[in-house]
Amino acid sequence: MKVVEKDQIISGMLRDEYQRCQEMVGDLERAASALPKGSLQQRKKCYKGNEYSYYFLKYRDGVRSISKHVAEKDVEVVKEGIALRKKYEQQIKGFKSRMAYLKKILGPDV
Amino acid sequence: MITIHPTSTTLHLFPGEVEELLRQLDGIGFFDDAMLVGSWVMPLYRELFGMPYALRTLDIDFAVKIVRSATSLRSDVERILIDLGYLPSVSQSGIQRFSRESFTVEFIAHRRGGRNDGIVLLRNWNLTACPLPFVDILQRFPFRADLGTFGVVAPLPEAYFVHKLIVCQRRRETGKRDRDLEQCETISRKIDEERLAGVMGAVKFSKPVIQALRLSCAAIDFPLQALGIL
Repeated sequence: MKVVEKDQIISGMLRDEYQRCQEMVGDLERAASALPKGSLQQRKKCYKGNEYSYYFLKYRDGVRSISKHVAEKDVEVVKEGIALRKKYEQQIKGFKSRMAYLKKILGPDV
Repeated sequence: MITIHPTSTTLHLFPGEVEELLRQLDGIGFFDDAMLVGSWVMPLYRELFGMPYALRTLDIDFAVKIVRSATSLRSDVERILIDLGYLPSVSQSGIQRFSRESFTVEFIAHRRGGRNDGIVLLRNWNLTACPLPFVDILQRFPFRADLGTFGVVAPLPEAYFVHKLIVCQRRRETGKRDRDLEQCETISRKIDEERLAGVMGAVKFSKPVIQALRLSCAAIDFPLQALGIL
């Protein structure tokens, strides 16, 4: 946008903001990748007249759908991890939409 | 430390999220060891010293004193930030950051001389800080802005001015340098000569730093004599 390009201080600030968002997306994606993805599901099974239940983590890996057993003792940790990952993903989305907005102002060469 | 008391307009200087953060940090006594730095001091300067500057970035920086003897935890700032909804992350260079919506919180500390100490661990606050040179100029000249229900510690504008004059010449990006100089120009119009002389008299500058001061003063048309440099 010509108007922004004319003012070096404002365009510099917007470029810095774009760069900061880019860095934050990288940092947040790295932090999120250490957390479990997908959803935690409970399955019930009857065996010899008794009902048993167990948890598994269901997520996608490319085109594959993966179900991974989660031990009873790890259920709370996995639940918290999934919730935290969602928060990270929400923030990443926010930074990405800000970047898209800045790109519109600064042009494709940002 | 100088304390500046509020007027009616200074009560809501910061957006809600930032005010909430500052209030929590003040509540745990964080400002005994730390101060608000970066472009977020400009709303304080605007209201308290009549230095109008509207542009500010969305990263909120705090300069924290390194207290080498403090090994026990005084307050868990990381926990407080997480409870406020900030998400922790670590940059590739190891700098700890906290982000919430569009805001990012970072901590810096003073780096002595040319030594590169890496990341500084602040055990008493359960934080890590990025060591940067010349931060001590800011830390030696604090003032407390009493904003009614909470307070904020920030560097005196004269210390901020001298700091910016120096660091802007070390910037690689011209955009940031121009912005630093623009802030200096805004401050220079309302600068308190006595306080400026106090800052200049208390800090010993090397030849390259004096050269940086000369270049910056020339760029904003500020008289070198006012800095005590002939």
